[in-house]
This record gives sequence, C-alpha cells and structure tokens, in this order.
Amino acid sequence: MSSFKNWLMLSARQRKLCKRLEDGRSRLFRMAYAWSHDTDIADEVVQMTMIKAMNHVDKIKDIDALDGWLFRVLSNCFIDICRQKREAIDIDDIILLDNDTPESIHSQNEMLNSVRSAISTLPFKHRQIITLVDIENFSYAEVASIIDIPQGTVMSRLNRARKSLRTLLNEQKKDNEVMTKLEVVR
Amino acid sequence: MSNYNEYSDEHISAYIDGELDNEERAQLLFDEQENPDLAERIYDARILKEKIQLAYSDMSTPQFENKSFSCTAFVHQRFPLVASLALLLIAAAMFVPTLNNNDDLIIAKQLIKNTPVVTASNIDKAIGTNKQVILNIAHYQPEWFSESIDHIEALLIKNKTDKKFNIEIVASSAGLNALDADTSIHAERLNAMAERLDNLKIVACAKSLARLASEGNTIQLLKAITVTPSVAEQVAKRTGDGWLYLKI
Repeated sequence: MSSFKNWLMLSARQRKLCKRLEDGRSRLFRMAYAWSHDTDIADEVVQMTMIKAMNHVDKIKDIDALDGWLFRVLSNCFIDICRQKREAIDIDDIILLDNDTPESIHSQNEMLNSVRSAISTLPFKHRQIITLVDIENFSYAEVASIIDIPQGTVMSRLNRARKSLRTLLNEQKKDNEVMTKLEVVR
Repeated sequence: MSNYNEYSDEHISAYIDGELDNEERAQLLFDEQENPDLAERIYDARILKEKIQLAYSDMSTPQFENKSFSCTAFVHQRFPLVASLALLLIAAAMFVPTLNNNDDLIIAKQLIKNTPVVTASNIDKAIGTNKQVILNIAHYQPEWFSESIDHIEALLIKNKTDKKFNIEIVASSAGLNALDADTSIHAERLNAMAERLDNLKIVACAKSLARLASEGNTIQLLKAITVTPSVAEQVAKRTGDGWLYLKI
C-alpha cells in the first residue's frame, strides 16, 4: 500500500475517532451524573475524561474498543475526583445525599424520581455496575474490563445491586402508600 | 430445567442482559411460557432495567458558557497605526509558510473545538506528570483567570530547574483579551512571567490579531509576547511533538 493511501486511511480513521469522541460526550455525562447525582461533579469528570481522550486520540488502535476505553477513563477520573473531594472516605462507602422529599417524589415524574433516588442511595460500586449495564448496555465482559474486576464479580455484584435497588423501591412504594393514607385521613 | 426455582437471579439477569447462549435462552424462554412465577420474575427484572434506562434518558451535557467576544480597545487617534498593523499582520499570516492540511492540523482543530475548558483548580491535575504543555486561552474572564495564572506560575517555578518542563500559552480570538495591555488586568503579569521564566513562552495568533485589527479592534501586546501565524498550526506542531493540549 502506498504511503499516500496510508495517509488517506489514517486521516479518515482519525476523523472518525474525533467524531466518535464528540458524540460520546453526552453519554459520558449521563453516566457520570448517574454515578454522582451532581451536575458539577459530572461535568468535571467528563471534562477530565475528554481532555485525556482528546490528547490520546491518535494512540487509539481499535475504534471498536473506543467505547470501553472511554468509560474506563471516565471511571478512573470519577474515582480520582471523588477521592480528592472526600479524601477520608472509601469510594465504595460513598452514599450520596438523598435530597428528595416525599413532596418531590410525588411530582409528575414520581416513578423516575423514585428510581434515581433509590440509585443514589446504593453504594458506589453497585451504582456503577448497574448503570453501566442498564444505561449503556455494556456486556459483562466489557464492564469487567472497564472497572477492572473479574467477570464473575460483575455478575454477582450486579445481582446484589439489583436486589438492593428492588428492595429500596419497594420500601419507597410502601412509604408513599402510608403517606397517601395519612393525607386521606387528614 | 425442570425445577423453575433452580433459576438463580444471576441467571435471569444474564437472560435479560443478553448474556446467555442460544441454548440457554431457548430453554428459559420455554420455561417462562410454562411457569407464571418464573415469567413474573423475568418481567420484574425487565421492568427494573427499563426503569433505570428511563430514569437517565433525558440527561444531556450542559453547555459551556461561551462569553461573547467584545473588544473595546479601538482608539480613534491610533487609526493609521491600526490600519498599518492590520496590513502587516495579514501579510505575515499569508506569506509565512503554513503546514499542510495534515492529520496533525485536523486533530488540532478538533482539540481546539472540543476540548473542554479546565477550571483553575483542575490545572495541576490535568497537567499531571506531563512536562510539555500547550495551554490555549479560550476566553478571558478576569475573575477566574488570576487563579489559573497562579497555578501555572507555581508549576513553572516548581519545575524551574527541569529543562524538559515547558509551558507555552497560546491565545487567539477572545483569548487575546487576556494579553491586551490596554484592557487586561493580567497583561503586565503575563508579560513579566514570560520575561522572568525561561520555561514559559506566550504566543498570540497573527490571524486573529489581523482580523481584529481589520475590524477596528486592536490588541496591544507587550514586548515579551511573541506572535505565531496560526494558533491551530502551533497546536498541531506541539501536539505532534507529544505536547499535552489544554484549554484554560
């Protein structure tokens, strides 16, 4: 293959990579938000991820592996930023503050608010795995590579996360039913 | 599987996540139709997954605030000087040999367009262990620019003896406001830093200067500030040499 043809191919490939990075930004933000439930932290994490990604765009060999790599960078940046913000707290023990009040849960997006609220109370490692699988539809193998754990651990952790989430949602539902009954009595 | 209760939650999760092979899927599909309890477990698992997807489906990236560019440095009595400078800079930008429209330039333009602005508190972290960094002033907002400059100066002083450590600050378009001796509260400080610190170079974009001057907006540069024909080409050159690109 001529060097000119090589150049043309490389150029098209790199253009494609840049476009993919640009397109991936909103997905990264959504994921960072699902992990942090804080737009400032999500923005900061995406900022760091994009900087790292844009500066290494020419070193990415396999375009198909870009997604997994990007989310791996996102995960590492998220952990770094959280560690800096909460130095004394183990990342796995971070439980986000739940700002939802019963009134806000009864808003028009009641169900979605309940899910977000429940996810925000999960430990980070559960929140991370459930969002990677359910929001981004990553395979178990991809998730294992992104957060650097064995595939078997992905399965068991995901299962525990879903079980906890289901329990939390059921508890919320019961609380809401009690609140509704109390309001009716009043 | 004859006993439906033998299906673990992990197995059902793997089923709804598309992780089972064809044989396992076919078996579970068959059993699901035969057993309402199993069907309910699968339905619950699917609903939970869909709820999570929906809960975050409307999240979108916040847009960075782009401060509209406004240069008010036009001075009527300097019009002949401004016009001459404009012509000189346009000529310089046209005749200085430019890089070919190669990969580096394409990447550089993408970097300039898409790289998010690094906040002052994140500069150290973003630079990390990199020793050669090109910093692009994207917008000049005096209220946070001081903090950014503090971090950069501290890094430069800390690495003063390391000859490999170099920072190049480039400014184009709205970023040129930071270098304007007439209007910027930081112009003197940046000039002093460039004079004092060997590992710092501050560069203004000739194309942007020419364009602004032709519009009647002149940017007064102090003597330690150098001029490059095009910031995009400068970024392409530096990143091609392995420098880290950041936008401040």
